[in-house]
Amino acid sequence: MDMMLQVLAPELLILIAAMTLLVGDTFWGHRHKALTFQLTLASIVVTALVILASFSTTSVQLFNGAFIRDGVADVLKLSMLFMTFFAFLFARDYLVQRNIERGEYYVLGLLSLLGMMVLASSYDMVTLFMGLEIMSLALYAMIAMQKDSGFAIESAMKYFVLGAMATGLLLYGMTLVYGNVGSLQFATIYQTLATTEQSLVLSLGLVFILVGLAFKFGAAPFHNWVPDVYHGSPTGITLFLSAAPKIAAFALMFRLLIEGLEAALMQWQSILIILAVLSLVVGNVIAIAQTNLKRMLAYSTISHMGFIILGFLTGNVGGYAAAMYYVVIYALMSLGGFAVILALSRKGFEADNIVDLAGLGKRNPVLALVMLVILLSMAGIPPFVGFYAKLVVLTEVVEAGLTWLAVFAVVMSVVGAYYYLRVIKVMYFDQPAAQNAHDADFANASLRYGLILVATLVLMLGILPDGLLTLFNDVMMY
Amino acid sequence: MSEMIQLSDVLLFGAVLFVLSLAGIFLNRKNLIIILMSIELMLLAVNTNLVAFSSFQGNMHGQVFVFFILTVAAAEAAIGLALLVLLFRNKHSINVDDLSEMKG
Amino acid sequence: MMLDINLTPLKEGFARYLPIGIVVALVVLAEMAMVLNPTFFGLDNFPSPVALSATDSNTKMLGQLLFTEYLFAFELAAVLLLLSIVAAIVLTLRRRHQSEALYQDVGAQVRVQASDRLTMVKMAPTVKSNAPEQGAE
Repeated sequence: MDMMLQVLAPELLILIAAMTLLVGDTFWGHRHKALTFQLTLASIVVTALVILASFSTTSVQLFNGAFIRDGVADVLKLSMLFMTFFAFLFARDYLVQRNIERGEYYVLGLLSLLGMMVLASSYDMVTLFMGLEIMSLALYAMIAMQKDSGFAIESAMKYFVLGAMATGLLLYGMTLVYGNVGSLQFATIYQTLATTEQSLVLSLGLVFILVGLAFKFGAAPFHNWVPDVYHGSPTGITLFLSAAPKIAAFALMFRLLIEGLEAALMQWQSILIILAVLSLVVGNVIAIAQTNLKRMLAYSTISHMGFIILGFLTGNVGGYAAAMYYVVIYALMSLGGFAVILALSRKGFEADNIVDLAGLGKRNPVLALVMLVILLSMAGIPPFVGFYAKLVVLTEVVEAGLTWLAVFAVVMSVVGAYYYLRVIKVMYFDQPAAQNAHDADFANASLRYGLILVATLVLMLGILPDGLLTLFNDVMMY
Repeated sequence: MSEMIQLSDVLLFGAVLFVLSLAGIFLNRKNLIIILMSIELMLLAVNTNLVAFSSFQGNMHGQVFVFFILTVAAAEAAIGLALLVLLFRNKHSINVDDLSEMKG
Repeated sequence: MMLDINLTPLKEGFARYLPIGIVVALVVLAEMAMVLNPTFFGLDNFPSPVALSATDSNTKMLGQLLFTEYLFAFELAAVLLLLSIVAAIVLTLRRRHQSEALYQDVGAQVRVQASDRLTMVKMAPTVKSNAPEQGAE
C-alpha cells in the first residue's frame, strides 16, 4: 500500500491540488486574487520535486498492469510539469487582462495536466483512453473560456469536433486490436503479436489507430485544425496547448504504437513515412505564405511533428529516444515562441502578426534576442539545440537505412529556414508601425526572466546536449 | 447453423454505424448538432464492436471498456453542448459555414 | 427548441453533397467489410458464446473487474465527470446583474407569503376612493 502511494504520488498530488483549488477558490477567490495562481505553481513544483526524489529507471506496475511508472514516464512527466509551470507563469497577466483568469482556469489546467501524466503512465488501453480524454476535454474548455471572443469559441469547437472524431477513430482501431489479440493490456498485446502471425484485421485496426494518432498529433494530411486552433485560441492558452499536450501526444504514440504494437512495425512503418513526408512538406511550405505569427508557428509545429514521426518510424530504441528528445526540445522552443507574442500583447492588442514584430531589435533588444535564439533554434541552425535535436533524429533515420528520407527532411528544413529568417529580418531591419513604436516593454518580471531562462536553456542545451540525450537514451533502454 | 448470429454480423453492423457517423460528420456541412450526434454514434459503433468481441471471446475486459466509453461519451456531450451554447450566444447560429472567421 | 434558430438554411446543400458522400461511405464500408466478414469472423473461428451458467452473473463479473483491475480507470472516470461538470458550468454560467434582465427567482417565489402580496384595506362601502394600494413586491 505504501509502495502504491509512492508510485502514484505525482498524480495524486496534482489531483489533490486541483480539488483543493476548486473548492478553496470559491472561498478566497474574491479576496486573494493571486492565491490560486500561486498555489497552482507551488503544487506543480512540489510534484516535480517528488518525481525527482523518487526518480528511477526501473519500472513498477500497478493495478494488474494498468499503470506503469518507469523512466520514460518520469522524464515525460517532468517535462510536462516544466512546460505547464512556465505556461501558467507567462500567461497570467495576459489572462487577467482578458478576464479569463479565474480559479477554474487553473483547476482545468491542473486536471488537463493530470490527464497528460496518466497518459504518460498508461499501460493498458482503458487508462490510456481515460488520460487522453481528461486532457482533451479540459483543453477544449480552457480554449473556450474567453467567452466574448468568437475566434476562441470557434477554435474550441473545431478542436472539439476533430478531437472527438480522432478519439472515435482511435477507439475503433483499438477495438479491432482487442478483437485480434483478446487483451487490452499493452504488455499482453506486445507478447501476443510478437509470437503470432499478423492478420488483416490487425492491419485494418492499425489504419484507424494511425489516422486517429495523426489527428491528435496534427500530422498532415490531418492537420487542418492546427492552424485554426492555434490562431483562434487566446495566446496565453495557445502557449499551454502547444507545449505540454505535444509531449502527451508523444506519450500516447509511444505507449500505444511502440509498447503495444511494435511487433507490427512492418505494417505501420510505411504509413508513418507518408505522414512524415506530408507533414514536412505541408508544414514548411505553407508556413511561408502566412502573415499571422501564430499561424506560422502552427505550421512550423506540423513540420516538427514530421520530425518526431521520423524518430518513431526508425523502429529502434535510439529512434524513440531521439523522438522524445525532439518533442521535449520542440515544446521548450514553442513555449518561448508563443511567450514572446504574449510579451508583446497588451490589453486590446494581440501582437500576433509578423509585422507587429517590426523594429523589435530596437524597441526591446532583449526580447528580440530571445526571439532570435528561438527562431534560429527552430530553423535548426547550430549551435542552438534545435539543430542538435534534428541531427539526432536524422542520424537514427540514416541508421535505419532510410537515407532518402533523411535527405528529404534536410531539404525541407532548408525551405523552412526561409520563413524563420524572414521573421528575423522583420525584427531587425523593418521600421515599426507608428502605433507600435514604443511600449514593447516586458509586461512583468516573470515573463522577462522566464524568457531569458528559456533562451539560455535553448543555447546551453545546444552547446552541451549530451547529458539530456544520454538520460533519454538510458530511460528508453531500461 | 447458418441462421445463428455470427461475430461478423455484429461487426458489420458496427462498421455500418461507424461509416454512418463518419458520413454524418463529413457530409453534413451545416448543422453542428448533427455533428455532435454523429460523434456519439461513432462511440456507439465502438461499443458494439467491443461487446461483440468480448462476448464471442468469453473475455470480460471489452465490456468493462464499454463502461468507460459510455462515461466519456456523456462527458464529451456535456462539453460539446456547452460549447454549442456559447457559440450560439456569440454568433446566433449553429451553422458550420459560420465557423470560418479564420482563414490563412 | 432551446435555440432560436432557423432550420431551413441548416438543411441546404445536403442533396448536393449526398451522391458523392454515399459513394465514399460505401467504398469505406466495402473496405471494412473485406476484413470484417465471415471468413475471419464466422462461426468457425468464433463459435457462438456459451450461455452463462445459472450461478455465474455477468453483472457480478463486470463489477469484480471494475473494482479490481480497472480501479484506477474507475477513479479517473470520476475525475473526468467532475471535470466535465466544472467545464460545462464555467462555460455556460452567466452572472447577470439585476438590471440587465428580468429573471425568475424561484426561491423568492416559494418563500413569498400571501401577506406580502395582498393587503386588505378596510373601507366604508359608500366612500369613493382610489384603487386599493398595491402590496410590497
